[in-house]
Amino acid sequence: MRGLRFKINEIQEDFVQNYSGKDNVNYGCSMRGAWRALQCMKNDVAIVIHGPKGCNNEFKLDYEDTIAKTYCTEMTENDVITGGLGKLEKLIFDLDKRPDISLIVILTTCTSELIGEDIDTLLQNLKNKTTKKCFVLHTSGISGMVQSDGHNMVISNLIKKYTSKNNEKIKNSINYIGYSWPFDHRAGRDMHELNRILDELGIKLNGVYTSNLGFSEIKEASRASLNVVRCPGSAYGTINFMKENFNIPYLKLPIPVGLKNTTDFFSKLIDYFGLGNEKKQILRSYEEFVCQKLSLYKEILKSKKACVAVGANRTLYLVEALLELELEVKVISFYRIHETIGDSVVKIAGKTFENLERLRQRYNLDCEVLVYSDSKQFYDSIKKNAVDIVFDVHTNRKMIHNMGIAFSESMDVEQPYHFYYGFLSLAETLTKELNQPFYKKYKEFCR
Amino acid sequence: MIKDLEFGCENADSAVSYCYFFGAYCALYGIKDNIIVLHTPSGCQRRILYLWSMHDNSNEFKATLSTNLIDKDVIFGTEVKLKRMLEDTLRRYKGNLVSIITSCAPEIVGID
Repeated sequence: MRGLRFKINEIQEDFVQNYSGKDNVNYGCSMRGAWRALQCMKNDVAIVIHGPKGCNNEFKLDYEDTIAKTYCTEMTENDVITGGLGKLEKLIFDLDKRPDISLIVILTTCTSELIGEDIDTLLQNLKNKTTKKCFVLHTSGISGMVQSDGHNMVISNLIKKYTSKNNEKIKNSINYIGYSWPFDHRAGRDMHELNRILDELGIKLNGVYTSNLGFSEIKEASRASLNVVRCPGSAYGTINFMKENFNIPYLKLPIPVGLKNTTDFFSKLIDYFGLGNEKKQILRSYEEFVCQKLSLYKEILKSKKACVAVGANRTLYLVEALLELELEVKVISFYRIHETIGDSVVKIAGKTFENLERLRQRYNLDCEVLVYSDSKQFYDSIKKNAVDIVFDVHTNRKMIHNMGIAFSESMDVEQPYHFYYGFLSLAETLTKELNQPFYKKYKEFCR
Repeated sequence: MIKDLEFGCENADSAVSYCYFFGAYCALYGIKDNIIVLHTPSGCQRRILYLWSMHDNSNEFKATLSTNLIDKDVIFGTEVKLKRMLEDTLRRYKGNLVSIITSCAPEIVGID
């Protein structure tokens, strides 16, 4: 029997800083990460992108008036020559008049940073002329290459600036840090289930950073008695600060995808708060319910071949969930295994590789592991292993469909996929995808 | 009339607008045997691929590479990285044309 077959391409110590020559590494920038984290907040927050209009072309999460809105100064050549602070000042004054806005966050871009716009001094000067809270995050893409850096900057700045120190702690309560989806939109619906199950267990969800956060909720962050880390890259600045200043410890729990990981997630919380074994009975009843429903999906999914291409932190948990659904994981692709955490480059997948080896032993996992692959190597591997479904980022969706292969998003997920009902929803999505005769016909049509 | 159209926050919120960069990418993507090199920070590559994935209807693989500029490159010059990238690209990919698209950052620092 074969095991894991690693194909690692040209890893250099300074890879992240000096990277060039691969087309399959989507870093994004810290501005996008910061924007994404802020956009999931409530509509009393206004985001101002101080840069050209091309930097404001992200897809909006929804058009309802429930989440933070984005404004852009749309800098042009003239602004690069004569300075764009006038435009920014006008926009801040305009937003300051709006009664529905409590907080204005300015995000800088490569352009505004390269021409040296002194936004800190501008805000200092405007302090007595405006009534709304306002701060700037320096998020130019040339100095912050990773999206999670932006998430981290947003969460840590909000808490450092606006959280009250003297709040009384709520017993058995948590902050869930490093998750960004509005509660009522796409994968954000997972947070309703988290809230409900925690409620049944007698644990209070104090806040999700940064989903559905209003300005008033940020002040209350220090009331939680524990911080639960969802994404270490987005949370590292916050959890250490809160531990030192608010005396709130933190816990890194499994990402709750699949039955085992979800039960582990809640069991560890029950153990931490000492809530007793009767609470674990609740988890068992959920497991039984999901197992019954899953049998239908498993008949269709059984022995289908899958490829997983997600971030290193989530890979292990998602692979485990797919194996629980009796899929065969044939290809695992890591676009990158290094990441900038603060100022240093860190290998984030070290533990993931060790744990993959453990999974291999437990489930007889036989798959190809691609690291820093080109797109072509990635597509070739999918073809060679006759993969039926691919978990990948949105950018590769059309290409995978055109190859006649089913596709499920791994980042901007359409449906809930965390916790118990999320797992059922994941199984349903995969079943639907695999039953689409559309893809192969589509491929023929394109030719 | 023109004064009414001046910049203001009322109309800025709804705008999801593209720049030359995206238009150039769309046009170049249609050319056969063309390798596209983005001389940009990594954020621009991520953004363009994300947007393009909504429009793309082709079933042919096309490489889109980026020099992933960082602050060090802006200070010491971006040409070395671009040269290295082009050599690497020509060695690795087959194509009759290599097109380079720049974005705000290299244009502001004035790459020749």
